[in-house]
Amino acid sequence: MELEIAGLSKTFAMNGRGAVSVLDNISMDIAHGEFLSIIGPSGCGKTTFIEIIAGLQQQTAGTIRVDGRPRSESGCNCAIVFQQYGLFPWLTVRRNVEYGLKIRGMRRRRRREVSDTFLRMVHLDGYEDYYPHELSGGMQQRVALARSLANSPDILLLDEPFAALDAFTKESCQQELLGLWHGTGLTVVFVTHDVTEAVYLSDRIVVFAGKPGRVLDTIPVDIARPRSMDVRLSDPFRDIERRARAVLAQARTCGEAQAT
Amino acid sequence: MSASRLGRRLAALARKLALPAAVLVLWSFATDFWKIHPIILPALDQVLEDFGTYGLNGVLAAQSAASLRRCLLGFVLGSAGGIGLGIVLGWYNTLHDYFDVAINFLRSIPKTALAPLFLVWFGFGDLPKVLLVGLASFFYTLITTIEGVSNVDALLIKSARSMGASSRQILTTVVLPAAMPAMHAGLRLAAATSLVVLVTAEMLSGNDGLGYLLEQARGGLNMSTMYMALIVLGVIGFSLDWCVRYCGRKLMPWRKGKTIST
Repeated sequence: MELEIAGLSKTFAMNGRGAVSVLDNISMDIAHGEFLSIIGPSGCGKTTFIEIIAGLQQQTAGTIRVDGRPRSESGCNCAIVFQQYGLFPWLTVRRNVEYGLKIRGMRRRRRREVSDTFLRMVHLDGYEDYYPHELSGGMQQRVALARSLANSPDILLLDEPFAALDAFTKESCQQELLGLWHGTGLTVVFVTHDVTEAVYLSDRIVVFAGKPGRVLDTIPVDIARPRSMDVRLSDPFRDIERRARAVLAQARTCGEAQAT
Repeated sequence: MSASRLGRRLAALARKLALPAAVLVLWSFATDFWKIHPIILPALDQVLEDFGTYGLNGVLAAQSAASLRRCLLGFVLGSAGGIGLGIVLGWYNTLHDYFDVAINFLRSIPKTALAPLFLVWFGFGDLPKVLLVGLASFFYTLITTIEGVSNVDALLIKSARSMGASSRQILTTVVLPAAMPAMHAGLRLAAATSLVVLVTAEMLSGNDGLGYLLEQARGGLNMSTMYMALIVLGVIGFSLDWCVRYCGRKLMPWRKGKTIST
């Protein structure tokens, strides 16, 4: 689905200490099936931004339209994956994946088919009856991904999903995510603070500057897909990465200038 | 079960029983060789003899049954009420405000201190005792349940909400299971306290129960009977706690387990 975000702002009231502006007048269009990453210094409102898209928070001003209709009326199905997984510790892997289906009243047999499919997709078949705490971080995040995808979302939002993983696990998760996304037409918004990750995964990178959060620059990533891990060593990749780092450095300084 | 696993379990059992066995041996030494006065510590075989006598004439069973009945009735009803109200108050914050002061005031009064009042109000039968035990269980479970329900990890609620769960579904499928460990902790406290409150009430009034038996034994300086009653109380308290822990393990299988590595 296509997302049009216009003039999005968010202000938090701080108990008697005035108000803090977290997002200031953010506008962007995200195309159907696009993989968009958002990078920016910490505290620049990235998480708030995607939680507003997910419908978990309300914006103070501005509109989000999905395929031309306001978000609330569009019936858009957004799934979100969190850095800390957010799996239910009392449910087995299978029941975690089936959670969204169950609360929507899907029959048991159908649920089982869906969870089988998605667990196989993230290579966790055989782990159906484990509890989340029995799995490693990378496996838990793959369960969370399977759980999100099982709800057949139109838009997939990921909030620094691989930030807690070691470098090796992170790379395999990135490849897995690209494999799952490729050719599905799923619109993805991916928040990260890892520049290489953003370049490797995305069609386009939006750089946020902080305090209040705003769009500083947008960097297209014109690298052919499917991408192998080796693409990271190519010159075009490095050029884009260098440019993204420069903009990010600029974002940091202007965040500091605002803060002082 | 494989032979080595059986061996390990037997070894663990032996380790657990070593200290109690040592205490019994020490007890025998103390009375037989060091001649401790029987008013302080009766001989072990005297106590065993009492177990025989009271066991055979049915007194021990009858008194234990009376105590157990009151204890379980009070514990079950009080805990059910505490958990029920705790869920409601933990979920509806505004409602909690209305009850906050009252709850914290009432729970601060030791339940044993209420015994004289309840005995005046409700007489000598089961009612005041069950009510006292119930009240103690009620407050222990109430406080922990409120804490458990109102402090559920916000990320889990966010997760459920992002998948389209309604408030009601969040309560039943996220908040309640997430609060179960807290409720369980409350139940363990309640079970332990039930017995304390009950025995105190039984010592103060009435004509049956293990508390009554203790008080009678004190009156007649019948020390071996007193020790017998204490041992039975220990066994009941231990079993009660074991049951609550067992239920906890069965109801929350996710609480135990190892992490596997990839």
